[in-house]
Amino acid sequence: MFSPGDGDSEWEPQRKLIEDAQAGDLDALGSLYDNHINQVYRYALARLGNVHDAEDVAEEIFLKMLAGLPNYQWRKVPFAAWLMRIARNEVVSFARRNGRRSQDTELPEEVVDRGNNDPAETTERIMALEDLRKAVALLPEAQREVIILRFASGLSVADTAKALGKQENNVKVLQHKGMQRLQVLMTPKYPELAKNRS
Amino acid sequence: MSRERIDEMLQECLAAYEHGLTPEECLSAFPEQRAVLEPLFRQALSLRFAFANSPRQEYRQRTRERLLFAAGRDVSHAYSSQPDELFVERARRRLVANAGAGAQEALRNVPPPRLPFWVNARRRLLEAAAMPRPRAAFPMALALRGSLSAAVVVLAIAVAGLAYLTSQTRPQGVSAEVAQLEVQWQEVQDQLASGRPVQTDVIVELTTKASTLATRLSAEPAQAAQAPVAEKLSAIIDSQQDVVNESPAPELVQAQQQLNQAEEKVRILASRVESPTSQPSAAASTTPEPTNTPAATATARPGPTATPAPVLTGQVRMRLLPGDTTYGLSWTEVRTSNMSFVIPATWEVTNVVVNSSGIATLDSSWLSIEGDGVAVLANTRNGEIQSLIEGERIELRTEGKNGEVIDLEELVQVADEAALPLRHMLASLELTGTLGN
Repeated sequence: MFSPGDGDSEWEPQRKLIEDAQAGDLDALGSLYDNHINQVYRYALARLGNVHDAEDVAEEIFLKMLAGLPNYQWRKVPFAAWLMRIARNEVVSFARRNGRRSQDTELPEEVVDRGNNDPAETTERIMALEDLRKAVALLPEAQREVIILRFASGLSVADTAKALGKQENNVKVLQHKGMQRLQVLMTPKYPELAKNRS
Repeated sequence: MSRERIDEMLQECLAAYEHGLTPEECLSAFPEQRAVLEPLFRQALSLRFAFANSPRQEYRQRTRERLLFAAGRDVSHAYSSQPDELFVERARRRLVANAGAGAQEALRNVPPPRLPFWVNARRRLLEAAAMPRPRAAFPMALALRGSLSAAVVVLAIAVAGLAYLTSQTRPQGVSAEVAQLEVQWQEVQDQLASGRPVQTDVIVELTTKASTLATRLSAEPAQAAQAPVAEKLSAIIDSQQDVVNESPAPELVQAQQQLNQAEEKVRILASRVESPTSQPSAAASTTPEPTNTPAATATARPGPTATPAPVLTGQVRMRLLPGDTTYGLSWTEVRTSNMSFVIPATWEVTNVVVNSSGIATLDSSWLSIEGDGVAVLANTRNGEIQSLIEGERIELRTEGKNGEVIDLEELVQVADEAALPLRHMLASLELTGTLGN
């Protein structure tokens, strides 16, 4: 409280990147895009459930980011949280506009092939992960939102709270409740999860 | 083990995993909690895999191009084209040639050499000698100078007199010094609120001042009758304690002790000022035997037309609100010096003690309220409100005058059935005293 925090230096490169992008440096803007495209795309895909819509919306999110970038203030909210707030609004308005329903998406190659050559086990693994995604879709809105931001977009608890305009502790509660509920939803098909429940 | 601790461990495991550790290595850091932690960690990792899709490379590139196009890259390129080299060379040559011609023209305009200075000086001297001499205005000038000197002397005497009188003035009253301290402390708080560092010396100086004033106030009976001064000083001390308690600086340890003693003195003073005979509080007036009755029920419940007297720091007053039937419930108002809000009449404030004067007081800065399986903690110093519902800690309001209140949608999500009473409680919250100013 009485002296500036030492943790600031950790964020200095990102801060510089954003300031350069705000000043019109196109390389910096390109780097911002590269750093956050996966985060934004995964969020859009998890919320909308199909690649085509996710691509459209992710592009729109970055154009909105560009429009809002001059007004972005580093001190007020972390960049990732700010960007995901835009993403959230864009996904909501897209879904409302188009009335789309989510469709099944194929799992990425790297997940499917991860360290296993046994076809039976791989298939089982794919099915389990697909079931997990379906279970996430069944969560109440608030829990689903937190789970997707935390695990699909990889936001920290603090950034998730800022992106959703909630208190950090409440984000933790929603995450905890969401994960408990996922276990309940998954247990009928995967009973081994039940014995591990806390 | 608490849910919060498990969450912390889960976050640590996920962070370690992101930094390259295997799940087994992450879990091995928590051997005793492994049984609880492992299923959560595995589930979190599964969620990460389930949503690990990355956009197609072609899409990434196309969207990047569009973004940069929208940012004006192509416009910049269009305007950043280089001029023809031959054109540059010709233009340069023309510029140099023009500059040379200009220089020659400038030399042609140099004025003729000036006359030696002594020629002019001699001429001015002769002109001056030829002019008639002006009349001396000696007497008038003398009178003017004399009157000016007298005015200066009078002014000097007045200034000296004022300085003497100022130096002879009696020491400042405690109330004036408390007011001065309040202003100084407000400056410190403003500085802290704006994120600027405050020197520890300044904090120490102001806490010492508060402590000295508390001592003086408690030693002077005439000052002791001034309840507002005691209350103001108490609020400053509270605020200083908050700042000092949050600081790790070792220099502030003594300040912390001083403040604790000062707080005690001001509390005693406040209870002396607010004695049942001199200024009966609602709590005291309707509680004949306060020691036999639980705190929450020992408090007064005056009629709806009663005008509530101010509540001093550390005191609590509760009264039933017959006119409030929100959600079909009866409601009780809970009021402290800094805040007031309503709670269902069936809920109880559990940490109020009744002192020897029959006044309900708090044993800490937190008000603890319980009812219908809900526990609420309200910080009377900073306005923070927390609740505990089915073992989950919910943050209802963040601290500060403009603390953020949980929105209704979120409240319903996390509080379930307790959402309605909590909603009315938060809606009724009013900050007063030092929190409201």
